[in-house]
Amino acid sequence: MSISLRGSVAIVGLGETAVGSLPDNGSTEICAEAARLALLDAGLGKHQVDGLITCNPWVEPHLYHAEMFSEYMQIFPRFCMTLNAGGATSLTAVLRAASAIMTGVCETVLITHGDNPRTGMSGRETGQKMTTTMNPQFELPYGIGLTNGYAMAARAHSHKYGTTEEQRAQVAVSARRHACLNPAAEMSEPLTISDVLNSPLVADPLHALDCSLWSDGGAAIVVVAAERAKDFPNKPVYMLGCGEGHWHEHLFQSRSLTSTAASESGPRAFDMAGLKPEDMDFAEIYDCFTNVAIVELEDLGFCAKGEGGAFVENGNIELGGSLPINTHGGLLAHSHTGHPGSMFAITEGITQLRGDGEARQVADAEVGLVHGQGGVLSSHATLILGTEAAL
Amino acid sequence: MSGDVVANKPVPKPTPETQPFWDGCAAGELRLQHCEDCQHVQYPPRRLCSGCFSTKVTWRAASGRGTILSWSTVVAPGAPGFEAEVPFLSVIIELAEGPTMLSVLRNCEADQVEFDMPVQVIFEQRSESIFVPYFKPSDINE
Repeated sequence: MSISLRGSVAIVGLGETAVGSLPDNGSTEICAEAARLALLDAGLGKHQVDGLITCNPWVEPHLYHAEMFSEYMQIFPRFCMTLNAGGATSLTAVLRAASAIMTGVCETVLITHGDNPRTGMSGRETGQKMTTTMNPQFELPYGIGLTNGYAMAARAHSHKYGTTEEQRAQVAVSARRHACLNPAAEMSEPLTISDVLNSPLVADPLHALDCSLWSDGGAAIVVVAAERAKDFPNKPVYMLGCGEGHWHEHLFQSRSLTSTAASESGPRAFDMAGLKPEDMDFAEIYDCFTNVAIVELEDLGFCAKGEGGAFVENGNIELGGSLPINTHGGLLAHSHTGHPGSMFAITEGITQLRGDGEARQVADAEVGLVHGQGGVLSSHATLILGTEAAL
Repeated sequence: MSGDVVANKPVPKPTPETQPFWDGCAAGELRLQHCEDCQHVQYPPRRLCSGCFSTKVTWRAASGRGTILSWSTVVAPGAPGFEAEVPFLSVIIELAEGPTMLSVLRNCEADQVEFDMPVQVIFEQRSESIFVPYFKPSDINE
């Protein structure tokens, strides 16, 4: 017998550290600060945490990271796991937290991620660590950069569907517009399409400003059973749906260069929620490169396959458009903290559904989608979140 | 294609399941695994057929030919030892036998690459025993 996870759990606490350059902080400290803030937001003491999910940072990895972190915090969970699905990690953590809570394994799950890849590693170290994601016999020997993989996907999409570089640039411009409304975002100056197109080609057809930031920072959330949701000081946000899809690790082994497993994770999440893409008030999606946001919008069903380029034009993905995306600024303009990157998409989704978005608030937001992607278009995980009214 | 062995480039370390592939490269031959039960052809090498999980996979010489699925110019290499070679062309190739493969395209300028362009394998020596499969545009007369 299967248990539906729809509406089963609520997120009752969130914490976000500063993002950008945090040279005085190690990965573990950032992870701890995010956790501290999330528990404070939830009004919980540390002894009330009995589930812990972390992810391994680039800078201070540990083979048993979650166990190391529980030792550091002196919390003693009965459910403890380190997850690694790259940029999809935070989304997959919520699904696992819900599963653990609904099967009675634990009651209060702290999900906390932090890393400091910007100031904690030299450029050379970053390059060396990134190569560990490549297939050592069939990718690494060619010396091809990680961005070139995403670039080849972008070029294939343009060839098949006519997506233009101006359309890709629009994703960065819209993200920047939202970041300018968010004092917590790293970037605060407006951007134009010509700024993007005049920035250097780092892996053609992708320009430097088609690429996300590389930041220090971390964020955390607290997940509990929905019945307990009103025992906490802040407005609860409920999980209405979740879904995953995993097609490959290495891009050359993908079933497609122009479609992703978001085409499976999205429908799985929508089916659980009993909702459709057009029901979403906003979407916080994975924009490590501008082309990735376009392909996800298609694969998640917000537009027909191949029409993602047109969908992002004319302010359609900005506040006031049909689907505001990445209202915090996304990985392109808020921060990209490595594996913790998607956690800020989740915390932004919660902020919107609490109505705390201030200048960037989506009017009357009741339901929103959060999506993460890890690897090179590899792991995909989708969450649908909603207010009590959406239950 | 012969070439100087570059000391600091990554050298693939064959495992028992990939050794026949690298032996083929050293012999100037691109070899792929064929499933005797379902005829699936696969790359990279595996202990079993990823199509049907049969363990009856056998090595055969491939045509060494394929077509370009996509490409991008590398200006910032993802591994040490390639600094002197930039810019070069990363490519994803669909081999004539079906599998897809990451490689680098030689003997071709960036503005000459096209989608579905036919290419053929060449080998570049990386160490005493390792030759890495690269590609070049197919010769019209071959």
